[in-house]
Amino acid sequence: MTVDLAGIPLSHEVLVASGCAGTGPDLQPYTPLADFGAVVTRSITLAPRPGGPLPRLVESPSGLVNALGLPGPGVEEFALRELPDLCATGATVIVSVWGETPAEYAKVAQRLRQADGVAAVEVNLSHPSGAAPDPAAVVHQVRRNTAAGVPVLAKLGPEALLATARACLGAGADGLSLVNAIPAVPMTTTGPALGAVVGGLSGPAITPIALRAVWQARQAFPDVPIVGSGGILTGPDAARFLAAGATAVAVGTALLHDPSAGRRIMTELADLSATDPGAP
Amino acid sequence: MTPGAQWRAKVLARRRSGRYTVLTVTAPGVADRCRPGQFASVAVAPDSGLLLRRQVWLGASSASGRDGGALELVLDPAEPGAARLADSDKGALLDVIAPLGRPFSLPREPLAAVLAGSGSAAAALLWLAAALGAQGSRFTFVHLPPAEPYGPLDARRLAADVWAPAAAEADTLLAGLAAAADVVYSAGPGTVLAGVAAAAGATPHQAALQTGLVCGAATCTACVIPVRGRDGVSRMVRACADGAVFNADLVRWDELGTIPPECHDGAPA
Repeated sequence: MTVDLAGIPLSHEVLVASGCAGTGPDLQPYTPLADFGAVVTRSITLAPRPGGPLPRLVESPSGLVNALGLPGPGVEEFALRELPDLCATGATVIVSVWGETPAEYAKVAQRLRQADGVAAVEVNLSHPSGAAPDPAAVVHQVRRNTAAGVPVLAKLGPEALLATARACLGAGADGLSLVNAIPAVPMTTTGPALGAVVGGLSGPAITPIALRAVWQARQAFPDVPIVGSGGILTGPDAARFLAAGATAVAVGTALLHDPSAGRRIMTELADLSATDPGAP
Repeated sequence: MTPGAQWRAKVLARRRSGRYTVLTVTAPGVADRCRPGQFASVAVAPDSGLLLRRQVWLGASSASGRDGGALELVLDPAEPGAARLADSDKGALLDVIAPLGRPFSLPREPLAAVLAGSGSAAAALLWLAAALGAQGSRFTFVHLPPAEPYGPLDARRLAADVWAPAAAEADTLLAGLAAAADVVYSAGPGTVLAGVAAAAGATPHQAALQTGLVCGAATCTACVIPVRGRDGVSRMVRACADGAVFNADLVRWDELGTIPPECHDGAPA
């Protein structure tokens, strides 16, 4: 089903969530990236980053906690190599961006502005301390350094959702992406389970929280495009996000469990009847 | 790396081998591509709440038969997800991706080898042993502590000598055996393989690294390790895609689990 996301036409309402397609082509053999409405890249930073110490990914009941540390080649290498490879698959590419400061976000956006194939920019506003210090300033910087026809989406966590969303929309965000992984500290019986100690919880464990965020944002901002995500494993899960008010949905953790999940979720969504008996 | 095939594999048989469980599953069109040292990633049923796939060593493959090919999956039920998989009844369907990773390289000519493995990873070495034996190579098999040996009877049948040293004796034994061998093959978790690498000294050494939980499609970057390239530059590489078998001389064993400072420009390649 086609959908309009802040002015960009998507061929389908199911997207790949940021960070869950590797560099992109890794996922291609299991579900063609062009079949998704769009692929949101891992968060691209100004300089190359090696990622965080191991362990980076642990299980939690019905969820995963990751502290990958945003590994990546930096925006220059991304723009020269990864982005063209992604575009060559026929996928619509939404580039996630991250920086230590608003100025760093701005430089990443400036470099992306010179590249072909960026359909939209998603601003990753998560931070090791929980959230970027000044989300509105970050969004403002990204918006003013991004071409007018390229939407900017603010990806937020559930904390202080409406106030943060209002500030980001006021700073120029064209839409919201809800929700980011939720800060979490998984422990073993002897100490932290993650090398970085603090990670982000994703998967079905956060689905009701994510649904609440989408629903709450939809009530507050009736006309704002919203990408919903948080533990979507099945077509009915995706339908619940759409019912809560999402314009489109992003699948993430499911792809780490089953790289072919995207194709299955799209098929299940298409097969769903208008009434979902399993809806919460 | 060629992407692994993903299919619904039917459990044809289940047997115990000590504390380990071996599942024989259908693998039509896949079994003939699998080699010793490669592994499968297997999803645990989502209703378990366990969302990461399990790295499962391949113990054998058969490209013939009624089902068009079969694989042996070797599981250590000490881990909860593997325990769920090990409970699979005959006829159950499993979500399998295989073959994954690079296999062991076989020597061009018969030679003297040491095979040293720990836990279920030793299954990869026993499969390799059969290939080495068919080729005329002589080898010694070492069951490394602390895990219960996998397939001790098979090892005795295939190898010229079999050892199961105590932890305090393993390094000395391995160093002596490696010094008299042309090549060392090892398989197991990083802590065990680091010891084998130190003991192997200058003897060429291929090491199959067990990482446990995997995404299966080389997308998550949770299994990166620091490896020195032939250009002298160290990079973080994905054990699932660039291993699981490594040239042990190039792995920075002492720094597994860390990001060495000079690797900071080395995003997983």
